[in-house]
Amino acid sequence: MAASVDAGPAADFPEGSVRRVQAGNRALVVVRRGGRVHALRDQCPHQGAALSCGRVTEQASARLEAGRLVFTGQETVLQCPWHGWAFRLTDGRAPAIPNVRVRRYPARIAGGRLLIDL
Amino acid sequence: MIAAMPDTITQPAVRAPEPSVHNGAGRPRTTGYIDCDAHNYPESISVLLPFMAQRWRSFVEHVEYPGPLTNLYPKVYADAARRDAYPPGGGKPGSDPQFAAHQLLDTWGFTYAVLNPLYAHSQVRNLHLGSELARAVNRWTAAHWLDADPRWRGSIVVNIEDPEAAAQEIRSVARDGRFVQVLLLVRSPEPYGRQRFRPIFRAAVEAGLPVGIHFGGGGTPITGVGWPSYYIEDHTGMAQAFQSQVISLVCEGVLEELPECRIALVEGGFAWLPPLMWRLDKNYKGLREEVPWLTRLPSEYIREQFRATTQPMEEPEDPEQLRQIIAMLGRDDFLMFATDYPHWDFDAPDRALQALGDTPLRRALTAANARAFYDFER
Repeated sequence: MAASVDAGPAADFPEGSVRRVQAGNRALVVVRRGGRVHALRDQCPHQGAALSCGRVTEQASARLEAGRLVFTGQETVLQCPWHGWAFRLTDGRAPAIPNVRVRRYPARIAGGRLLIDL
Repeated sequence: MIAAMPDTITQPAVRAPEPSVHNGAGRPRTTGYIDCDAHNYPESISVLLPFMAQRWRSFVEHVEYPGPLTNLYPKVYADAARRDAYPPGGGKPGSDPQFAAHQLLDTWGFTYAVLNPLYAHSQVRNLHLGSELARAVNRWTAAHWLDADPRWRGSIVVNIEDPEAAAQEIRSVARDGRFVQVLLLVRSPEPYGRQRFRPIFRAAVEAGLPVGIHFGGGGTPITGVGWPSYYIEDHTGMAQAFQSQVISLVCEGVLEELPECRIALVEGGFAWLPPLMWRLDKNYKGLREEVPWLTRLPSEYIREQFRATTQPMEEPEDPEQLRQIIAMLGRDDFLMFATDYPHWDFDAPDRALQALGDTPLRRALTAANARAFYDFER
């Protein structure tokens, strides 16, 4: 059974926030976006930068049709502050890099607190 | 509410301070390394004004000149910088010597870092203003950076469009022993082997300084086929410009005329060098009559007089291929470590060299090779 940790009052994680949380010896980055909370390991697997120094952004997907750019969608990613590696908030995977992901931990708000399952 | 939750609350999490600005907390220090490529930026032209002649101060203020602009492509981040490299007190990444010393030198334990200010003075069409801006950048580097911390070392910037003025500037600034090289940018209006640039190389040799040729520049595209559309092309393809400069400097006889001339290829990669040497040697054997002043194989000049910095480190999926390509360079003292701080493609000292393991080669390229190339105690 996963142990949950109490990361503090939910109010400390307002919409749009990107915050670092230390859970024991694990450094996590907590992102609140679109009403959901996401918790990922706060270390880029490339060269080790703290992802919590990065930014949350929308990355577009697109295709070229007869030379014209057609946007087909976008997904929300957390982007490393150094080399720009981007990881989906929803599963920690890097859309541009096969087999690379950041560990993601279930997180939720309950009783006005942010809880993370380790 | 806690009781209703399925999992056990075992411990409270601790709100950590916002991530350390240096991003190196808990990492092994790399004490004794030398960084051959870090960057310092004037926050704006206003910080250069005190180092300019009165006539030029008045001119800049009168015409409200903002300084040269160079941003050809939108880059991954503003200022092409690590997002954690903005000084807490404000300003651009690379504009605060104390903060940079903390985030780069203290965090990683660097003994020295060579500063390469990437100012676009050579793109100013007014030659006199371009040369004055170069002079101001050098004096600003000395006063604001070299005076601030003994671990910084400077590069002399020059206006390549005015090689005689550039040579004079080299002779003047080289008297300050904290400047350890002359800095050129790789995209130049013509290849650097051309005769018009020779005064710069002669002055560098007379001053006992190597020449660093760094990623960037302006006026011409990186390619031989015109301007690419995207930054990813610009960043990946810059090796084309480096290749052109290496070929030119060899074939035009710069290295033959100036056997003491030493050149560092900075941020240009190095994996392309072995096949370039193969092809250049092969062509030399048949086409020597065209460049009869060369007395040795081109690869001999390259191996003896060129060096290259590591960042951005080549990252093949199979690390063994990296070790093989380094072996093909032909000398263990060819590569010198660099971070490119504060730029977004910064190489972390504890991660970028993992493919090399704990080997004599790694130990050499993190410090000894730079010490052999640069005179840090001039």
